[in-house]
Amino acid sequence: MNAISVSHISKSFIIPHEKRDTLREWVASGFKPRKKDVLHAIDDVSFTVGQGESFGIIGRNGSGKSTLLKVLAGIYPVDSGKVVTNGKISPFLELGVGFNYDLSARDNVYLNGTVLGLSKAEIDDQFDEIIRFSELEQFVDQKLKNFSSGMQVRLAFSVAIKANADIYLMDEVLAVGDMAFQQKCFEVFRQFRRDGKILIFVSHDLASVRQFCDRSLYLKGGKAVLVGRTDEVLDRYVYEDQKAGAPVEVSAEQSPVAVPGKRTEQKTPVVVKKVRILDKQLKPAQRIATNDAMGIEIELEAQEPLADIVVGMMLKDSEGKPIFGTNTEILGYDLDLDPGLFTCRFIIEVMPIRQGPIQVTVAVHKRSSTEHFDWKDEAARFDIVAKQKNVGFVQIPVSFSGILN
Amino acid sequence: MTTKNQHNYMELILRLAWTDFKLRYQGSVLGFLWSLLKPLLQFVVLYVVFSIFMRMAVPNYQLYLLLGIMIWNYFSEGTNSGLYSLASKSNIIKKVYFPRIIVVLASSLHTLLTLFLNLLVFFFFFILSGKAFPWTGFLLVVDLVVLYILVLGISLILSVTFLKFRDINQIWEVFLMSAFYLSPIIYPLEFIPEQYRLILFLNPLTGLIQYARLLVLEGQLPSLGGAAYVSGTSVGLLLLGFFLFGKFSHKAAEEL
Repeated sequence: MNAISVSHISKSFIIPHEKRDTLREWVASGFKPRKKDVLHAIDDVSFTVGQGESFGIIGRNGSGKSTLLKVLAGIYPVDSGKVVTNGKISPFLELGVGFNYDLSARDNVYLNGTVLGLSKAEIDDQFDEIIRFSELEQFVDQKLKNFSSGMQVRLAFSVAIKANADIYLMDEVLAVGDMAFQQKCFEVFRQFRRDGKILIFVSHDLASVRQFCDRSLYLKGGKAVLVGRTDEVLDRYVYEDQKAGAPVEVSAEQSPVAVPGKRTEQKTPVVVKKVRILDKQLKPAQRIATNDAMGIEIELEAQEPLADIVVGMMLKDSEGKPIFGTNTEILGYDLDLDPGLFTCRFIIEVMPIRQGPIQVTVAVHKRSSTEHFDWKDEAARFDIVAKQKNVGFVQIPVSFSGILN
Repeated sequence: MTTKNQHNYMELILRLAWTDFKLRYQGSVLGFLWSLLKPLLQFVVLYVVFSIFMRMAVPNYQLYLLLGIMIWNYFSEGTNSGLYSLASKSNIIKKVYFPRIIVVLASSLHTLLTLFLNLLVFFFFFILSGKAFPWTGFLLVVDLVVLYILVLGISLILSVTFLKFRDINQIWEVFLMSAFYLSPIIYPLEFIPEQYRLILFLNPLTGLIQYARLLVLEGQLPSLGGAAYVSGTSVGLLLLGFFLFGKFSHKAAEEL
């Protein structure tokens, strides 16, 4: 018997054009029906999850992943189709459901535990263990509002794993806590798997999906693109619609967010028109796999003949911290431009970043001058998608010697 | 959707009710004593105004007024808290599945706890007055059960209405204010000209307050017809509440 079987479910949301949520507004509008759009969040999706299996759900933002999880949890009713689940479900849709900041950690453990379906006796039994796991022994009777967000998450996670369910629905919960606590969490998940519990996993962290999920579902626009072995599904997700990945275009009028150094105020003689991310086949892409080659294509427009031009680019992480930067001067090129449009590329032979969103900043200036002709912060963005199960920010080439003696 | 679930929903109701009760009074120096002080202060003000300034001549006016205020407070706090019960628990409703009626039940229970504390105060004054407790006084329990049914029914209706119409709370506030004066709380029913009394009785709260006084203070039983009307409307509203709640509450997670 399958633990979860989902057959042909659809769920749509009605989005009225006009907000009308008071009686006054309804009366004022004479109770006339509103114009509305229908958003098909989930469109005819079917899959099954067997006993003891871990199942991943991947897809871009807005592809319906979270809606699907809420349907599985019973929070949203479906419009059509059927969901049959066998076993007690514990939704980790969000950690710390029902947490109240004015209550102590102790009260919150009881409140959150009860919401997750634990009885008072069960919480009594496991209370010490919960607190020990969360490493918050000294703070048991402090109010939650005095806790750091990391402490709150640790407490919430420690309660959630005690929910004693058969099926755990998890939405992006892995991005919690510091590295040491994350390792502890992963250990718990491994134990869950050994105990034959079912994990349903929605995450952007593809490496975790690869590590924990036997099978996965790739959702796109509410439709199931592929259900199957996690490796296959992830490959499809990473390499699919690379050609459809639209380049981020920068309009010439767009002002840079932050401009370090001086910037010429007069009409700029050369501007950055477009920045595109290219994959290893030099096709426009938005996702790059770790260790793949990639390109950054820059389109420039010069208004007048220019000599000694330097084009530079900088990769930054999601917080804007620089990861790597270079320019044509460092690479040993002299650029002279005639008026007109030009395209040039930086080729990165191996992308050693393991995973995460990356932003690209592009600048053009004259050699031995701090004055920029043009500077575009966040001229393009792309995601690096891990293909290995390692952890961390960079992919370091590594091997193991085996036992030497 | 079939879900085999061993959730113990009674524990959830009690936990939510207790948490609300605790949160309401914690942080204030007097704690839950406030729940006792509030009706007492109300009582003092109304007593001074109506008994001393306006010289209302009603036997046992103090106990009469106190009982009326306590029943009224349960009605007004109970329905108000019921109105917000779904909305105030949106953080849980959007994340976990459980029968949505649980939050309305929890809200009606936490205000019920306040009513019980208030009744202790009432009986303290009752004993001080040296009055004998008539056997009919025990039937107050029945009166309170009907009151609870009425409050729960209205709470169910208001809580789902609030999902659609976010200004229903303002309308309810005005309604409560007029209901306070249209119920025999500060004045005895006998002050109302005979031909209007029946109209006042259309409001089931009139009967509930009047009968509580009859039972506890006068040792008399209400008329069978009156009792049947009050119970009937209360149960009727509860059934209407169940119907509307069953029809509209399953989309609560989307509408909150």
